Amino acid sequence: MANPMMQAAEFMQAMQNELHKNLTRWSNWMSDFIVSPAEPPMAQTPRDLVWKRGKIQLYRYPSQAAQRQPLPYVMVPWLGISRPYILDMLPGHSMIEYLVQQGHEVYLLDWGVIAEEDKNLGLEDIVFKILPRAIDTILALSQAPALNLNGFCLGGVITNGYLSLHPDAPVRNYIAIVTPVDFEQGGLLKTWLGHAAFPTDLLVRQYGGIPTSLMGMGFKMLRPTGDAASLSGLWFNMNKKDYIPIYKAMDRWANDFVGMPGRFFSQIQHELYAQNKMLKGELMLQGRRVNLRNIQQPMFVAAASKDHIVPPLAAKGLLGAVGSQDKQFMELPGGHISVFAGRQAHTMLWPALHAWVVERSAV
Amino acid sequence: MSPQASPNNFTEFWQDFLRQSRSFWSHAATAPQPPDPSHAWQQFVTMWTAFWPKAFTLSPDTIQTAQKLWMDQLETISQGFAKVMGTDTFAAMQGKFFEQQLSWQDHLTKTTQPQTDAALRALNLPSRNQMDRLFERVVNIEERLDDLETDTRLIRRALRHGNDAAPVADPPPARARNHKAPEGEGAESSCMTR
Repeated sequence: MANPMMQAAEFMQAMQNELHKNLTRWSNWMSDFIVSPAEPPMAQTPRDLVWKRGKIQLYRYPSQAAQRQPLPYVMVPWLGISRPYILDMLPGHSMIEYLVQQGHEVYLLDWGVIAEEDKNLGLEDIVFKILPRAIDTILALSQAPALNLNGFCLGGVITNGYLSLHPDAPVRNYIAIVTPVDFEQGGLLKTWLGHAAFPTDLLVRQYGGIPTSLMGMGFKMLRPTGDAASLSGLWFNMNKKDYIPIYKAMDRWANDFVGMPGRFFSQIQHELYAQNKMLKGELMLQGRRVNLRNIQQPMFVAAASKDHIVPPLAAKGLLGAVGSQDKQFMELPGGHISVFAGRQAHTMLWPALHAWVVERSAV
Repeated sequence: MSPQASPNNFTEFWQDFLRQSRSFWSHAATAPQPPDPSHAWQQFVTMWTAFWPKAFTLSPDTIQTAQKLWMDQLETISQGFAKVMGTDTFAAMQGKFFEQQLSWQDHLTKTTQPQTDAALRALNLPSRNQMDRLFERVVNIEERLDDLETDTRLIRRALRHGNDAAPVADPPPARARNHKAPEGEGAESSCMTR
């Protein structure tokens, strides 16, 4: 048995250290949350607005490396729910910054702040009009023969639809990150949105879509202890000065919800969550069947092991449904967002993605 | 004023709504419980009972252990919630509750709409519907402009191919040449903000 005196001394030392940490925590809290509560500036990677349609904006982030990658890298984020600036969160913690530093010319399609006037925006408009035009613009600007296409979350549903309905699309490689495809495996969202009692039509009729407040409430409900866990994490790490700006940035983004167009939500709820039509090959857009087998590009699929929005099995379903021969699946530790924007993404997902794309991008 | 909006009808609706809510909640409370709801609670108690003996051993790891335990507890509670909220019963209850709320709001909006519109007219202010229609028109105009730009590019390409056998790369779209990048987030025009 250990010497009780030694144990007591060690305990006192630990208490003293903890007291010191607590003083630092209070001091940092005063300085960073009371005296200067401003959030750190986000989305700092230099960019140009190169195309605009309504609220939809296409940004170009020029390559920052001496050796430029031959094909542009196009990011299609989720439509509605939240803003895509998490992809360029803070200098040193930004996926876009990482890619441009590796020589990629990155393009980001920002859907803007969705509101009631966008209620008629549906998958058809995006798949047949908006995305093809954005891609035309990118090819004209970059003078490249093809591009690398990266869909995130529901943005992946859009890119899946686009590639299935445009088998001749100028896309060399396809990357789907936390993209739901097998909606039967969609976790809590499948249980709620897939249930016949969910009043989608009434909601769309009344609000024209999902309003911001409801979107926020829905996502908070998915993880009711999320805010408590996040605040606890902040307190435990408050003594580390470099933790605070990342917390502030993440917290701002995590509470900056946007709505979703009624028509798009209706399609996602009725056709995908309730009936899983995309995976079954039954989804019709403008009278044409979305056949995932038409996707022939080399494919990289990433999922997060603790994703409560798109569980790994929901994302993995894409691999078996497409016609691609060259397929890679990566299940990484982390949650829905942290897998591509968290601290570990810098050492795990981004380098793997860069290496995979470079290997397949020779012109 | 429409018959729906008369004060008597409104009171009746409100009473009816309360009646429906009461019956809904009593039904919800007596609904079959999700499988083993006590499981999460048992885990919670077990963790705490395991913690206290440890906390009093004067170990230097006590603080770390307490922090880890707290986070584990939050995770357990979250899983407990997920288990209950992941049932069909909950989904049905949530859907019904949500539908009731929406019906109530719909009715309230319809009832108060004439007064709101009259007040806005008196103040010489546009209503939400008028603003929405205006925004829709702006979006439509932008879309038509974009369509025109695309058509112009196609025509120019066709003309070039007609005059010259060798295809020439398209110039960048007009907006790419004319627009400067906005500074940071929130650079959209005021009509695009929430």
